Amino acid sequence: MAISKDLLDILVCPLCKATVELKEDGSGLKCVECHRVYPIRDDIPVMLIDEAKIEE
Amino acid sequence: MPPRTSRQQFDSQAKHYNAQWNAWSGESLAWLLEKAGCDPSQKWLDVATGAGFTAAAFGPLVSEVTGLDVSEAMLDQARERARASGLANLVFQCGTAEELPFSPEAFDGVVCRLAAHHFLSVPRFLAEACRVLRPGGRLLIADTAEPDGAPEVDAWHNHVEALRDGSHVRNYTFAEWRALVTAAGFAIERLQEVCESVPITLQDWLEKGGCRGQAAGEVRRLFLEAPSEAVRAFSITPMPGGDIRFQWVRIGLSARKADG
Repeated sequence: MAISKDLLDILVCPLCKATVELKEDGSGLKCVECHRVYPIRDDIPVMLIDEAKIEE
Repeated sequence: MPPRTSRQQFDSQAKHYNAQWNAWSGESLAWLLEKAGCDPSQKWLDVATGAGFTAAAFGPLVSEVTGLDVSEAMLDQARERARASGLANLVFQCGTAEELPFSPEAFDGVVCRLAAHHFLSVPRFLAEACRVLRPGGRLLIADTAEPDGAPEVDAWHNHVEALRDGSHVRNYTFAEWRALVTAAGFAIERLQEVCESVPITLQDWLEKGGCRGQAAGEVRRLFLEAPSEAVRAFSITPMPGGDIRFQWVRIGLSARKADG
């Protein structure tokens, strides 16, 4: 199960509530504001602030 | 912070959340479904979906259910349940109730069953639920609760819960729920006690919580020495063979976000 466009439309960064974008390699969702990357594990987006890494 | 986070607790206990757990709270699920007023166009969010029993029950009635949980191990169970039920309209994400990863007004309804007592901040969860609901959207909560005006019962119950499961934060009273939900800007439609028909037995309850050894012994002692008010409130009854039967008090709450 890939991350659908419908899901991407409603998912936001749990911290700053800005849009998240799917990384090109599909490994995570990156916040357009704070640049935190939330990992996608087993097709499930892990939208936990503690699990995110800031990637510039 | 409680001594153990919900993520740690439920990652380790996920495999024990089977149909028996669901049977302990069948009436609260039926109550939620009855009050939900689901229609096939709606999108619902199930906060702290756990093993996905609530999401799977709402699934056939609505367009889509998003199940959110802090534990990835619980989400594995939820996804397996959805697959086994042939439900293709359930999606799952990992996240916390206090920091919902969804855009404003994304859902027609938000449901949360038997989980809010683990939340680090119920006011924060309610503010977030309000944010992600469309105007006029419905919030439905069922949880273990404390009777009003019974501080001794309240203290005893919350103490045994915390000993049994280190991620327990607090069972709120009916009056506390009324105040919290109203303060978050919701109009309460119904707030009532929901009676479960299946009693819980202490041994099963301890096992579901992963409570063993000394802590389990202490919980058992507290049950045997429970204040009489608690014995009455929870129908605490010793059984032949040494186990103890009881029934927690559950609250059912339905509320609406203001229109427009």
